[in-house]
Amino acid sequence: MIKRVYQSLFFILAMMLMVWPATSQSDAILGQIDRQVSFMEADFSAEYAVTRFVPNRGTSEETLAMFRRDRDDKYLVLFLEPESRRGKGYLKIGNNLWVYDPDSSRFNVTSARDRFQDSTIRNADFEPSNLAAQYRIVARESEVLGAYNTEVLSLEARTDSAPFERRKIWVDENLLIRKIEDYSASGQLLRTSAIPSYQSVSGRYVPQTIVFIDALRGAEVNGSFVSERTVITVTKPSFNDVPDVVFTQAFLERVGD
Amino acid sequence: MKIFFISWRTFTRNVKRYRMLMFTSSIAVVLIISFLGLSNGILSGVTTKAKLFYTGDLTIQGFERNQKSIIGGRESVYAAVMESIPRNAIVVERSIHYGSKAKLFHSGRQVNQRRFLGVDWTKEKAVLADQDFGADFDFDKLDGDSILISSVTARLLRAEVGDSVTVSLETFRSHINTGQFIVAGIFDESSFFGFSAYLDRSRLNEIMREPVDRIHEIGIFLPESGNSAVLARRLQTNLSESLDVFPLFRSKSEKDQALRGNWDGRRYIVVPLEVQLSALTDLIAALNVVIGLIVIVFLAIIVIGISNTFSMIVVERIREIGTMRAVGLTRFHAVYLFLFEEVFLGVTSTLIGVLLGVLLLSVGSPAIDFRLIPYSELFLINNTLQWQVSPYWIALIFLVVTGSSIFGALRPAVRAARIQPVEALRQ
Repeated sequence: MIKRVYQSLFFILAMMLMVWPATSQSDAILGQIDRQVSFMEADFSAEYAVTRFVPNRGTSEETLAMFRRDRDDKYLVLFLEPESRRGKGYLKIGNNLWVYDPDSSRFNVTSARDRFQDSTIRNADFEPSNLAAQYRIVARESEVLGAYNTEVLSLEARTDSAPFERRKIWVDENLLIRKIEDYSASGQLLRTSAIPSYQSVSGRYVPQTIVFIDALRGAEVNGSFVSERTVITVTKPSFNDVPDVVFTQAFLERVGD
Repeated sequence: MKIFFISWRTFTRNVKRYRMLMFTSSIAVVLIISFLGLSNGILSGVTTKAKLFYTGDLTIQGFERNQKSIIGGRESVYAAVMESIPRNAIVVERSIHYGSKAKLFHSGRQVNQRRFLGVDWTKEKAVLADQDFGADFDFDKLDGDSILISSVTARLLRAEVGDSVTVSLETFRSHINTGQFIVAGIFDESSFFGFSAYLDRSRLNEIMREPVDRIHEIGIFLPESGNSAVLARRLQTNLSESLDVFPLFRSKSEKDQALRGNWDGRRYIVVPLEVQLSALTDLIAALNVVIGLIVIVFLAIIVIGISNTFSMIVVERIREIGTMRAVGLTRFHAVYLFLFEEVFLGVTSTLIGVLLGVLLLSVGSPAIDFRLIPYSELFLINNTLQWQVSPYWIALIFLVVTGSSIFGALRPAVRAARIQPVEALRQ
């Protein structure tokens, strides 16, 4: 009897030792990927040119000012153009995300999972990468993606805060994400994102262009399905300090007025 | 009694004089009947649609604090339900997804849905049978991949029966999940209650990532909605014998307030349709006020018309009145004579008006294409307006129109009775 208990304990311990390195290795890789595009030691600011293409309806363009303070989990997105949206903004402080409308001078609570201005972008896309905390790797394989030798990591959400239940990410030799596929829990492709180019600023990697392609929204054009897509072009990146006041509701109100 | 027969004789002899008055009153009754028939039909149509949306005349929900409704102790709930409701009532079990991220996609188009209703096709057949799903629709062919969508959703998605659509919703873990379905039927419904779509219950639960046999609400469709208040009380009492049950609420806000309060465990609520429809109640009240005003206008026309015409008739028949007064008709009887004539006039006009009104509704209502009216899906059943005029309303119209006629004739009748016989004979 005692022998059987020892055998069982040994088996459980052996299994834990086998799984432990895999889990910690998985966390380590995802942590490294996160660190490549997160800026914990400095504030980040840039101008985002957002081009949205909706088949049969045309193209629209917006210019945003982005301010990020990753170490405090804060960001502020401010509309600069078009004129009709100037002053509108998104402010994230910790788990709270507000959208400010200067026309009504009101803040409304929104969610990181919500679509940004009903586009292909989610509000969560403006946040620093947090893959290590939100996902676990369930499969790995190598794949050549254009000019890059990439490793494809299949991820599964381990917290409710993960924006999608399943994701597949293509990571190059520098552990920079080149492509992401977001899936529903049932395995349906919801969105594909690609980061074809990064720019090096002060020794850090900043995406130059990000393309988001919606797998569900689009239209038939000349007999074939064309997806709705959004392209973000990042210009004027900077790691200079951003004043504390920028990450406040008062700042949005003042700028909006 | 004698004056009654005299009055009948004078009425039949003077029927030519009353012809125009009878025609006007009948037309007024036709209009009142038509308005009531159509407005009752609209209200009945709206209620029928609301019943489908809100899971019946009575809905049973089971809440834990800050959680969505789940029917836990299903056996106890069923025992209480069976004890409380008529045998011919229909009981359905639904799982429901209610959230801002419920969407349907087709060919790149997207339409938000207010509710995804997970149903048991076999049990729900009797409930949905009233809906027009098209000529080729077959209830027995519905399966786990079938979805029934509203006509407005179908129009926005440009989807047809047989097309594949993607259901997208947020699971309890707040993640998006999707499922592929085939449109098996399209039903007429406006967006008044919000768009809804019917799916197989276990498939919906699977997408919501909840146990496949879970139900969120039990709905009771009564054969006659009139006694729902009594049955709700009975059901609430029977449920409370074995389960924790909230008292009956009078409004949705009262219910929401109670749910926000301080309590433990799972508590059940019996929700009558009227409580679910508290937003609609205001609309119904407004509609009733408008109908009431229209009826009052018609009645005012009848009263004024009768009063004026009767004044003329009194002048025309002044010698006749004088003769009758000279041979012994008292003033009191003279008033009765005219009032009885007016009763005959009122009854005859109402009878003609009711018959013509019902005929007009029977022939006219199916002939009119109400679908041309915006949001008509809200009240049309099988693309027609199911007009309704109950015997209660007909009796009331008889009383009100005849009463109005008497009221209109009262002043001229009293004036006629005051005329001195000698004076009348000299005219």
